[in-house]
Amino acid sequence: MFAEAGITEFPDTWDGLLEACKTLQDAGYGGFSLFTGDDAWYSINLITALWIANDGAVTVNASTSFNTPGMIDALNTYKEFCKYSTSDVIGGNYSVAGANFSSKKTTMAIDGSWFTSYQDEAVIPSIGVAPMPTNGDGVAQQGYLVTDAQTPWAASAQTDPAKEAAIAEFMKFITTEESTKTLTMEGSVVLSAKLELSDADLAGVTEQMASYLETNGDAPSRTTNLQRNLSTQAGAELPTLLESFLLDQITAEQFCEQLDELN
Amino acid sequence: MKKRYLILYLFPAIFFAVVFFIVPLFYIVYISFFEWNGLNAMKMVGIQNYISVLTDKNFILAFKNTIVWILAAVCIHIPLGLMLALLLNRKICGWKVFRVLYFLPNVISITALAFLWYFIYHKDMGLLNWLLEGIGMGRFAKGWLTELGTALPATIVPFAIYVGLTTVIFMTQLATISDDLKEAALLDGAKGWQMDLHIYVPLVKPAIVTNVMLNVAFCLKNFEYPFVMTSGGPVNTTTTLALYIYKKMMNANQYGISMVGSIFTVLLGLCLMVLVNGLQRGKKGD
Repeated sequence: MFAEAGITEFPDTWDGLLEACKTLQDAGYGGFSLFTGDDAWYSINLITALWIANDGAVTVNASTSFNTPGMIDALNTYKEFCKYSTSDVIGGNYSVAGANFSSKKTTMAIDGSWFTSYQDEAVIPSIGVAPMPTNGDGVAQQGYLVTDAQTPWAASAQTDPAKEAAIAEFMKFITTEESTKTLTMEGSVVLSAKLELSDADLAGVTEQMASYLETNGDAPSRTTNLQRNLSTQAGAELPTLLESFLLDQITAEQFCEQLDELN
Repeated sequence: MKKRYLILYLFPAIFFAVVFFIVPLFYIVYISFFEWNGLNAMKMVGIQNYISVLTDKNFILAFKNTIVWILAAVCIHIPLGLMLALLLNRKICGWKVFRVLYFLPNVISITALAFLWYFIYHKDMGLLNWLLEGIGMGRFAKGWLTELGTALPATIVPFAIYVGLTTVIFMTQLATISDDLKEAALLDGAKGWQMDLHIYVPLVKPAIVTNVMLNVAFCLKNFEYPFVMTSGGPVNTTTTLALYIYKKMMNANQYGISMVGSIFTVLLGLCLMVLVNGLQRGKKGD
């Protein structure tokens, strides 16, 4: 579809990708598969990626607020991308957006590479995996990763100091690189930690897990999709906020303020 | 002795009502005073959940939307069912087939029908926009489920296909009307719509009450249509009380607030039932 529209290389900047979406639309194809229903997963992946491109992964990972100029700009760019998506962005859900990609209504799905395995076998050879574009200003490094994977470890408060010390010791043990590797390789637990893995290690896991580990290992940075950093209540209101923003009921600034307030 | 038997006969009904309604209701009221995410320890917050719900604009919107559903049921759905019943009562050609056809949607999964309607309204591949284009009214084609002004009416319209149950209840009541009464009216010169208006309609009032109650109950429980067709959006404009309760519990993990939503729904239902019964008694008194 990219070739049909005359695009030979996947753009390496977001501005370039926006231009490409316009070209694709002129050729009769939608840009990204996006949706606001359920957890608005694709939309939030895109917004997170755009935010990282604006502020850099280190800043985004450390940010305690969504109300930043980089995030506001990311939302406005996201709105631009929505113009090149399908008409069911508002209210659509993961199945609808996934089907839009599978049925070639859209050309891109911002999802894990495993998503390819869901596609029809005849279609798979025509699907490519592209690294996240940047703004071309060096703020974000090419190939940065937006991930869903995070494994928080938590323990309830203890009154017994001996138990508390034992728990702390266990936490230290379970989060060592060796333990992380064991959990990943033997337990198939998807963690976002960067691991040093040999070819022999990768041969012992499934193809999808190997693909994930390689991508994760090669990425210059990993940022958890911003929705995973929201409180449950804020996460539940996120689709409504997105729809309000897309329907021009609130501005990007108000979106960020309200999200901070909810969170 | 007779009273003892009476209690014995009533026992199963009372037992099930207590176990499956009264006890859960008290438990819901109990949880409504706590902040609870379903996992951690519950924290007593007094009436804070009630204040939160009553000041939550999304709850107010869900409440209004449910009232709109009820108004559509009472003002459009029931009169439509009555008209169809009166029409079929004239034993028009193929009336039994129509009766079955009208009733059919009531035995089909609501989720399946909601999906069907989702695709009817779809902006790009929907039947409705396709028809509008076909008859040269393409300028009216739109994203029926994604625009703020059309989403709620669009989710209510499918309600009309359940008119069959309402019609059957009216027809059952019509069947009880004595032939003597009909013959007397005919001898007095009543014809067609005069028979409908002056003989049949006044005599099917008990069926109207039954239908109002059943339709109000349907609207209060209505979850599948907004959930499947719009997820309650855009911007909560199609969220009903049932969906609000679900979202607060399953998406936001706010069990206490969800329970308060449930209590207000029960109260709304009770108020409406008392109102309908009151009106019915008032009419009988007249």
